[in-house]
Amino acid sequence: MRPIRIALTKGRLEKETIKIFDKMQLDTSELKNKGRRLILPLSGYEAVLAKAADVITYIEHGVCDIGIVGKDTILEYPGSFYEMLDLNIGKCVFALAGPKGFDFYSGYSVKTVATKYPNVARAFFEQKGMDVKIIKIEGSVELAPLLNLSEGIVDLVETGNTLRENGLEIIETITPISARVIVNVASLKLRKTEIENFISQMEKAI
Amino acid sequence: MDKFTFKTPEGTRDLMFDECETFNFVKNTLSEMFSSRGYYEVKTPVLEYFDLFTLESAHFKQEDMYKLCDNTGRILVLRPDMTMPIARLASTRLKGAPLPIRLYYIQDVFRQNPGYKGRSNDIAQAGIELIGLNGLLSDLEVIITAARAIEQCGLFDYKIEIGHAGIFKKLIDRLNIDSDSKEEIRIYIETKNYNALENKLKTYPEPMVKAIKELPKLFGGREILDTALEIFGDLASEELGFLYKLYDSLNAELQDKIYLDLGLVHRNNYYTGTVFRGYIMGSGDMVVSGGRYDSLLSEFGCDLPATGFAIDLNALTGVLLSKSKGIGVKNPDMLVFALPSYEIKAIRFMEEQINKGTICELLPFDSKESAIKQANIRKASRIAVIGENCEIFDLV
Repeated sequence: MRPIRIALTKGRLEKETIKIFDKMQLDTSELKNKGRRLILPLSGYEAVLAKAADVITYIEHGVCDIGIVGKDTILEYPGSFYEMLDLNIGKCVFALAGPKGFDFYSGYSVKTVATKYPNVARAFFEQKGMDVKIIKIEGSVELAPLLNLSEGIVDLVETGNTLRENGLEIIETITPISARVIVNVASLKLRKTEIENFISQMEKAI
Repeated sequence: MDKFTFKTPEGTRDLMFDECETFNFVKNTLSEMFSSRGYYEVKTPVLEYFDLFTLESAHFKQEDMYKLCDNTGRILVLRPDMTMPIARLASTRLKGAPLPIRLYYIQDVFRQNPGYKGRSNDIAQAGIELIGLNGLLSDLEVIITAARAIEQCGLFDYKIEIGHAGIFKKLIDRLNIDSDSKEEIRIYIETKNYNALENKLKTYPEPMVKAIKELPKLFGGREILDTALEIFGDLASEELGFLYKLYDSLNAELQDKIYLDLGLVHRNNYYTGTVFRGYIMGSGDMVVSGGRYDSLLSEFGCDLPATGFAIDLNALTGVLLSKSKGIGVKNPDMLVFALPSYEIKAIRFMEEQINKGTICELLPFDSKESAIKQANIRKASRIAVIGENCEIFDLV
């Protein structure tokens, strides 16, 4: 049987997750000196490095068993898996933001919103019963209102510095975000003990 | 010709050769097994009215269904599920039939999944429905049949989890909340999202909350029933008592294959009693899904208890193929080579050979050499040259 595979979100979350692994006394030396390798041994487990949305894909298909991914990605790419633990790392918020002083909710005209997270934006405005035009942007979303493409943006906000420096401000907070541990449904059932052990160790380390 | 001429639609695919052989093996194994257990096959139309799947209890999302219109403007769907058509059929065509009614089906269901997720939108299912019986015996029959179905296909590394739809319903009904919040809570339990569940329930009073919060954590062996009994008190003692009996009986028969998950709360709220799912090592998704739905048929004016399950044939086939337990394509034993004007003689000869159990293939070559060459490519062991005489050559 193959070792339990743990999919990590590359980048900032990866570093914070490795800190947790260290506290769990796992041997993270290979992860720290990964070079260009994407699958690395981790004290009898296998760590896989992937982009956030791909972590979800690998977990859903059961090619990885445990995944560590931001709630932002889970909200944008919903799927069927267990979401078992909040790691309280990678904390930030989803927010609706717009030019400083602009009253987003005023008037009858349909507003335009730019975002990297169209599903999150749509769900937010649906729940408000508000029609908006959503435009998907891949890079710096803050540009869209500055260029008059949109009246607002829906984006992740951590410190708010980028918003401030570009003359934008939070209009409304949508939901807090942090990293979560997700688990493939079949894996939890077929390899219960191993996975529960890992997760309870992780829980103790946060 | 445009580009769509050359490919199958998203979520569908061609099955070829050994995939077909393996698929047929699974299908035939299951249909023989179901019929030897007293189940009769039914076939329902691929097209059903949209309304059938929008009943309160069914809960199929409209965006997940393939829809089309008939010539009077009524909305039809490609069936997304087999339980609703069976319920329709049982309560109309089989009204008044002697009970119990045992039915099985092997049919495809169609669901639109989001694109580029590698999911299949055309899912071949085999399943049984046992109508007119409730109680322990019928639940045992259905769950054990599901386990045997997997085993008969040669797969033994599997697990079956059982739960009870009544527990969640009882607990949630005591909380005075709207249906949206109920659904939200149900999703958190189904996805074992402990955090979100905790947050959502913060505003509600104990002790009901404690019981609901614990639901997703209650999975494992018999001991979780003891824990549940402690936490729930007499909130769901009837259901828990039933699960004790069910678990003990199943455990005697299926041992380590069976465990409990009280957090098993299906989206389809037609389930009323025992619910279960099956997982096979090698498949990342559930392979069997089923349970008891005692009030569904009454929505069709036929008040009968019922239980059943569906098993995903594509998943079984996939696991068998990946374990190289698939059924290979048979090579011909003999190539039959007809000389000009001996074509009918060659066909007769071939049919004689086929009747003896030989796999034959006719070839229209103009020389024996090219026939031998072809026989090597096709991995046939013999060739027959049919002219005035019938000559048979063994090839090494």
